[in-house]
Amino acid sequence: MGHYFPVPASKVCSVPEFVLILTCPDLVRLAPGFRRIAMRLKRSFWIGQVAGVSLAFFLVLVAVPRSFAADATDAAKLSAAAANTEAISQSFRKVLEGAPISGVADLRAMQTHVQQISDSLRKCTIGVQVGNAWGSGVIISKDGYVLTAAHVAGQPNKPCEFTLSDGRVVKGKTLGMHRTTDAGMMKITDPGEYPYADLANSVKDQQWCLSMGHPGGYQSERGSVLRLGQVLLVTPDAITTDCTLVGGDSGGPLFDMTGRVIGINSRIGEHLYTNMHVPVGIFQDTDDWQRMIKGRIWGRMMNDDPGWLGVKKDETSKEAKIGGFPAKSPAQRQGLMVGDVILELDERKISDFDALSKAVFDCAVNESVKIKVRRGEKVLEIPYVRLEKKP
Amino acid sequence: MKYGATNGCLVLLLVTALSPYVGAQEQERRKLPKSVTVAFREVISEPSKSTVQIYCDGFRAALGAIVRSDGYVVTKASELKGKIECQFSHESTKREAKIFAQDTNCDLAVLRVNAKDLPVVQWAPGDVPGVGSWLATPGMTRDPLSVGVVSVAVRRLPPNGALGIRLGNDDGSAQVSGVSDGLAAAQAGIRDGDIIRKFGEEDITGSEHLRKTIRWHYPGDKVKIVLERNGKLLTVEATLSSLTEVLPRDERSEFQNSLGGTLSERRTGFPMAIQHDSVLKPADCGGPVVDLDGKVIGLNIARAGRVESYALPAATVRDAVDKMLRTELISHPAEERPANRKSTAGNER
Repeated sequence: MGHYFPVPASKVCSVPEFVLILTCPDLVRLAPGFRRIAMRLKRSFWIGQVAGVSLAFFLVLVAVPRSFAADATDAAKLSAAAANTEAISQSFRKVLEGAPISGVADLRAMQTHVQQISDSLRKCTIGVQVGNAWGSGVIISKDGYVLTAAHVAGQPNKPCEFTLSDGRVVKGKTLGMHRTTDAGMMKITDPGEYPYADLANSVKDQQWCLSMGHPGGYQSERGSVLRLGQVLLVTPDAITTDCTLVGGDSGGPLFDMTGRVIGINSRIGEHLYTNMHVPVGIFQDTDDWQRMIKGRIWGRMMNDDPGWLGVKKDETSKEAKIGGFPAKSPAQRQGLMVGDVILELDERKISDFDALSKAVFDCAVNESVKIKVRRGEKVLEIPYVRLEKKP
Repeated sequence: MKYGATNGCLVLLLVTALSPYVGAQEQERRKLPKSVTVAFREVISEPSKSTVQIYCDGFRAALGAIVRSDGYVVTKASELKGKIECQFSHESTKREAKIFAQDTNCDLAVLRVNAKDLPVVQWAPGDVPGVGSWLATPGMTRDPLSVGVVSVAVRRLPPNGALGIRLGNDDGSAQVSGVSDGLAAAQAGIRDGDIIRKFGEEDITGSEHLRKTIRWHYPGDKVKIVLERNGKLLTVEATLSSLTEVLPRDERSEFQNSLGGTLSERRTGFPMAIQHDSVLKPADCGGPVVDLDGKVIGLNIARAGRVESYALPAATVRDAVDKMLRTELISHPAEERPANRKSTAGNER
């Protein structure tokens, strides 16, 4: 069905070059042609919209859904997805996944379905206020963990306020964020049980999807705004859909058609079909979820160059073992040695050399990282290794 | 790391090569899967017969809906200017049209065209469609112009009148703590320190109450305001400014909302509106919008932002049209009345 969208994948892939991070004044990223406008925008006054740092993160949803599962039974009524996974026939499921529809009957079935679930989607979508800036978020656990965009959260461990779908305002705080992907986490701190949505990590091209959020900021007489669209492109870093987004939507959820969260609204491009969401699923094979909960901020901003450690792989080892150093290696100068096996980088477990490459690529030039190595029999920590620009 | 860099370069090169072509082709309309478009053909086949293309000075300016078989068409008033022409779906020629009556509250106008036996739009009776309902906008072809879903339950949109004052903290009274130069309050002689006791017919109980009350009045409205100054009450009359004159321009929001196409000039202050996510251009407004049963549930009235289009519900349009037609017909029999006479019917609120 790809040919229904006259948007070659490469066009969409290019988005980081001209994408606007929704709502964030100092992080407007534009193609060179728009840079002048961007400069003007930086000076503009953004009423009640989000300020702060942009970027994203890696949510590790593997560990968490499991821990939620333990109390899932009594919370079933609160969970959007639990209410929505009523028997969906095989053929209708195919329609929801993007198969060509056979006629008005299919559209009607989809409409009835969306009407039924829209209320539960609305209930777990919330307005987020950090300082005097507005964004959106989605509650993903009964005790009030919230997924949002890193640029909505801004900084970890800051107080914030959430406006629930019924207009009630509750207190909370920002937790961790991964700036590279714009993933962020928050927590409602007022004790209580909150309506929440489940998470889903499977996303396919062409599947229908629903986006919710508070465009322009929370408005009591309006509430959250539903948009229906299809997934146009899935990459490891972003889901692109034609659910149109605008400032204030940042941090709001992208749902699959059963009401499970598959993405977090993050940024837009110039065109109506470049609406980008942080994928929820890609984070499942890392332990970054715990970093989020601990309120860590990491990753680099989109415009920053990736850092360079300057180590060569020891091809004989399956671990991240240093086989040598290129010229001007920052690693060599700062105490690493040939034969060292790198075990952790900034508390992230490094299983092999690829993992090391990825972890370093996720850090910015001039960032200092903590590296744990095994040298012979001993395990030692090098607290500050400054990454440099690759010559 | 090496991989990342290499891929990045490739992607960028590809993009450079393809983007002009893609941009020209896309024209900022969301493309629906073919199967969806085809399914909607039968849905819109009847209502599209009552859809009218309206030209102003030769350019496509709006759509309209036939409201009487003898040549009356309703459309979005604020898009009209210059020489107005209508093209009916069963004809290839344009016919000259005159403004018969206007309702500035709803931003509607009824046009008079010399024609007869036209297919009249059938407004849907009953409830407005709920959040998640499909909506299609018929154009002049067999495929819908745009398709979307209801994003927000029907609501009133404040017309965003403004006084141009700063208010103190809400402590049970609305005390002015600053007056902007040149706007409604300054012109009416409202001063720093005045306490506003009454706004129009409304007794004001605090700052928040006053703010809300002002927002629900129209720019240009003349409002009597009772003030308390140095312990004495006095009454002034203010002609309200618009909120957009008062707030600092939010360029970033404006810029983001402009990504994806231009917006309607008049896009707020409707007595009732259904917000949907169909992608429309300003010139696509003014015509019928239908649900999955092909019932005309309203009239598109504004492209309001990157994510929002507004439709007036059928009942609102029907009432406004009835009023415009009736008022004119009572005072001036249709045959004798000059066709281009403007009316203010329906303006009272």
